[in-house]
Amino acid sequence: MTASAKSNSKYSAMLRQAAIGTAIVAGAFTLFVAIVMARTWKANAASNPTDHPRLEQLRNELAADSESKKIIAEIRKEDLALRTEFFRTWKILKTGGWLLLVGGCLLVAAAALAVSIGKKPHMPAGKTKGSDDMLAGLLGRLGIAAAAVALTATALAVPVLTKEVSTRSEAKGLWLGFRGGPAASGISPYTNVPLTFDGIEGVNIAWKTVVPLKGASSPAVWDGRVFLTGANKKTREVYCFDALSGKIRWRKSITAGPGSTKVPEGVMEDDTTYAAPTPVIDVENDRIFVMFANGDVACLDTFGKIIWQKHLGTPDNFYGHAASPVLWKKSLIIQLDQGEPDDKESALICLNADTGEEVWRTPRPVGSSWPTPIIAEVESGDQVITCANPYVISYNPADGKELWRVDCLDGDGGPSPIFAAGLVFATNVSSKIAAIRPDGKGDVTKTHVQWEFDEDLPDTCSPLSDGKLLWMMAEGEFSCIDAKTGKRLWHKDFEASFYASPAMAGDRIYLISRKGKVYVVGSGRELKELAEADLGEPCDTSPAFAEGRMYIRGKTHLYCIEEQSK
Amino acid sequence: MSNEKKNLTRRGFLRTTARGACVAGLGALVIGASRGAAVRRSVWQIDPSKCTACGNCATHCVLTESAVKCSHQHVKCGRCNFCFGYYKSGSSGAASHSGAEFQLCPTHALVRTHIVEDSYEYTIDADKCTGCGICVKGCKEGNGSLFLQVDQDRCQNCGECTIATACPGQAFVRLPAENPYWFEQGTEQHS
Amino acid sequence: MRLTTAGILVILSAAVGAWGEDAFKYPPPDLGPDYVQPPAHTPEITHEIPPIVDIAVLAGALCVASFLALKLRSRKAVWIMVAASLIYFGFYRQGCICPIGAIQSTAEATLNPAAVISLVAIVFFGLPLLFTLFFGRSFCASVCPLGAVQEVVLIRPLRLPGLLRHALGLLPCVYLALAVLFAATGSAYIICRYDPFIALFRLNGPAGMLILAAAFLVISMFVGRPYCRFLCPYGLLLGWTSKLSWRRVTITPDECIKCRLCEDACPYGAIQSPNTETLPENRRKGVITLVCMIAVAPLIIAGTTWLMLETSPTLAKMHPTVRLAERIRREEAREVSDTTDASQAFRESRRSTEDLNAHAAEITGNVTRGAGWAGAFIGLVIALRLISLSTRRTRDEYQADRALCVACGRCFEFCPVDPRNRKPKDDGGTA
Repeated sequence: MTASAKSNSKYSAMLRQAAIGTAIVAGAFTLFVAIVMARTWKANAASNPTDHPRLEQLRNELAADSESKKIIAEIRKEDLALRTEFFRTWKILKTGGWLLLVGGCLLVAAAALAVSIGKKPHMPAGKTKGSDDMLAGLLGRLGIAAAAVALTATALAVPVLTKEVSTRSEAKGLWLGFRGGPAASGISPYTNVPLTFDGIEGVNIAWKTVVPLKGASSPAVWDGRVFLTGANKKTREVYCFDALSGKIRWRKSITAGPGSTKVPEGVMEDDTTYAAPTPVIDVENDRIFVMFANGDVACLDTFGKIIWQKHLGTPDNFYGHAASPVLWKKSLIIQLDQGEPDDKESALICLNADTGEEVWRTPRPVGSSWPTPIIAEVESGDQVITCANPYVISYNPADGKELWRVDCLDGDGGPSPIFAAGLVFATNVSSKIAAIRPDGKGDVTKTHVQWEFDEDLPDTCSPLSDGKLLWMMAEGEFSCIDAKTGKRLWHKDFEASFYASPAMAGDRIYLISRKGKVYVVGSGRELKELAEADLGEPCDTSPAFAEGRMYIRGKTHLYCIEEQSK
Repeated sequence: MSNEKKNLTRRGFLRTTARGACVAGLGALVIGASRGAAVRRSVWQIDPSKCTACGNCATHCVLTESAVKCSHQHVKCGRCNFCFGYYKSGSSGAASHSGAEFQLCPTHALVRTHIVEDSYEYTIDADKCTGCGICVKGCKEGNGSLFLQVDQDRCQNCGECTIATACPGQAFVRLPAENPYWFEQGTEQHS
Repeated sequence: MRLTTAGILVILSAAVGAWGEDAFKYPPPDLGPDYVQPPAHTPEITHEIPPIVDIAVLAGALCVASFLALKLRSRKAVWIMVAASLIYFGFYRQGCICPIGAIQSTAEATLNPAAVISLVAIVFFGLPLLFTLFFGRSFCASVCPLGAVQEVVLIRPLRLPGLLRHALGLLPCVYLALAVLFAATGSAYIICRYDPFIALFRLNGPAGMLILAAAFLVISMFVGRPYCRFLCPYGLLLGWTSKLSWRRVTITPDECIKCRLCEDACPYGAIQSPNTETLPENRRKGVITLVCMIAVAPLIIAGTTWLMLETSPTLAKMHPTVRLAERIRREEAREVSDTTDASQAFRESRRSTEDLNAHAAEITGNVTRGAGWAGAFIGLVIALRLISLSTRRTRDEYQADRALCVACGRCFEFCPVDPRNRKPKDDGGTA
């Protein structure tokens, strides 16, 4: 190389060094300014006099002691200090960006210069790049396919991730009627219900209040209020308890019509009782519906005022009418099964929830029954599912027309049906438990029963299912069955008598025996006994769950069970 | 070789036709879109009847100092001794309670000057005003003469105003640049 | 202006007095004859540039850019133009109004007759496209401030694999479809809302935008033009129009001698190599692939249309009225126990819920229809790209891909056919 070339390259090297040095200095400067700006930003936010916590605090103090000169002086001082700091930092923030820009530009320019000096030209070697079109095409198509898949996944995931609770039936945690509401699943999402409690010792008992009149109805809970019914031969009452204190807020006596005073025959006063149907809560319209064994139906607002009441006639039911009404949109649907099938007295009745007027009445080919009808949100539309010897019948709740029926029940039926895993589960002690696909028409006994099981069947307790497993409680014998296949996984004899249906809160199942002893098991595929509890008095009713509390109606008291922290 | 040339000219012809179609299409689009277009730009402004004085104007502007300032419609002002936009309600308004402890404006941008007798004039120092709207909320108990407006010499006129996006009352509208301020019916300007 | 204002005020004060005391809760008192009411605070718009100036500057810049890329062919000149555009369009005009955002204004003006859009916005949308139809994509390199920023900070470009480039290249199409959908339905201007560099041009902004700008700057130092290539919706349109251009950027001023010195010159992967030497491996395979791509095209379009229609209820939530209607519904159904600023403001305004729901339903309907078209558009682009990737065109020289080349001029310096590049650097002869 010539001498001048050497000095040229030396000059280039020096320039490069200088450029790198400038870049580093500019970079450090930019970083420094950025940190100062960030801190100024924080200071500005902290000194903003609008809604400043310190000023608020001082003003509250002044409100308590309005003439205090000391506090006034303090406020004025603090206010001046804040404002001064606020405007000072404001000014810096408004102009500091330019410094950042200058630093940034220097950094970029110097770095670009450093990189461009001494850049060696590309010396081609090997195969001509980019001439393999087949490969390029293939890679391109793969890339587009991959991107399309990723975008599809995003498009499908976004609605799920941003989904809010959209329909009322998905509103978690509301317990609006028998076993929770129209679907009567018996399942609550609350995981903070106490594992154990003792009604005698007072462990985890928030309160217990005497219920004036006896009844077999379960509690329904909403908005800090617990609703119950009680009755005897002469009187029928609705009670509203305060959920936090247990005090009775109001009680209302119901006599719906002149026929109400007629005492229904055959009612087992201590067993089924005169107040067996559980109250139904209509959250959207702030009202509740109640029914009694004598045929009285009433609608009250949540303050106890009667909106309407109706006497449906004295039911001819040899244990006493027990089915709770069920609410569907603006309809109150009542399963009024009576007498013998040949008497043709049984009917599914729909009343207008606003007025109590009868909207439709569909005769039923059955005799007396005691299960409560449920609303199943089937994909093709809502259905009312009823159980009575010998049929499980599904109706359209809009017009009462029968959709399908299955002949699978026998004997006196107590358990109500449930809808889970896309199947209707109905059972009864003298026949079997059947899993029915609800998409049929007419008599589908032969075609739509997915599976059947016939050991250790419940007499009064309704089954429980989370969609994967199904549990049922026979007279002490508790079984767990795979909901899809009908295969029993395990069973255990608790050696006690149960009327209350199994109820699930979170992943725990509570089994309340008639004596008041409570067994808590896990909801997994293997039997896991978690705890035992004692209500302290006999209990025939299913519990209610709301907001971490469990409400159990014993023979005498209504209990509120809640984790009591020490 | 001649095949290639043929291909090239065929492709070139197709390209020219497509280009012509694009130019025509672009022209049609531009003309179609310009049907209702305004020659002068439109600017952002607040409709005081929809404003809830929520405080977002002070916090959401892309500028450090928000372009939204409080404006005073003096015609409507009652010149009260105890101004609801100046003083916190509940204070006695006594002389001993006339400082920062009972003034609503956090930055002292609302200035109170005596006119005659029991009447005071309230003006706004725009350089101190943050657009927080506390005085606007207070004034609603009075005549409602204080209201928030976008200062057109500060506003950047972003395509998508971040305050407009966050306004709970959807009070931001676009007004023509000739008439960019909104005063209520019966006084100046707007319909 | 001041005098008229004062005059009006004086007259109206009298009028107010004439209305009587019922008009105001606290009627203005008599302030005496010497009282002068302070003027209303109505600061003039100070930095408004007349629309004709805006349009003229843009047209001028486009002319210069095209000239530099096609006639002068000088990388240094392009660099100076880049810096000038960055300063003027970027920091002085603060990146607004820009042709990318103008897509939204044009879409809204076309599809929503009630919207009032400024003429400048529509011209800004059309002018660069018009120039590109004739002279190629010179807007991107030398005029667009976002492109200029990315151009300036690019220090050490990494070569991205073809698979990644094609995968990411789908994003601008989706972005364009969504931007037009949201703009036309009045939901949002998402291009403005998520503009990565606007915080840099304003030297200000919410924390999120500043962080986004910083992140994009850092990425742009090592990946060439990430926004231009993988996000810019306008770039998609420019790429298509550039394919039809009358004149195109050429690497060599004369005939290509295939010296391969420019192979690595382009940081944006826009240089295509000649492929006359590599024989097509299997013509049959190629034809089958092409037939498959054509056959699967309607399925893709149907699939994307369906997907967008499925997503449309969520997309509708971008509109504040739809969100408000949903919030009011949830509050009334007691699904939530508290209220928001927006729902409180709605209740205070005493507007009817029926009107709100009707309006929300109308918007949701518009969004659903628009989403269907958007989905079909995306599907069409995917299908066409797959088809074009299965066709083979003979190239006998190194050329700049019409759609991808942004006319930055880097490759000009590498071509030895250009006499300017053959001048000896030092006074020595051979090295």
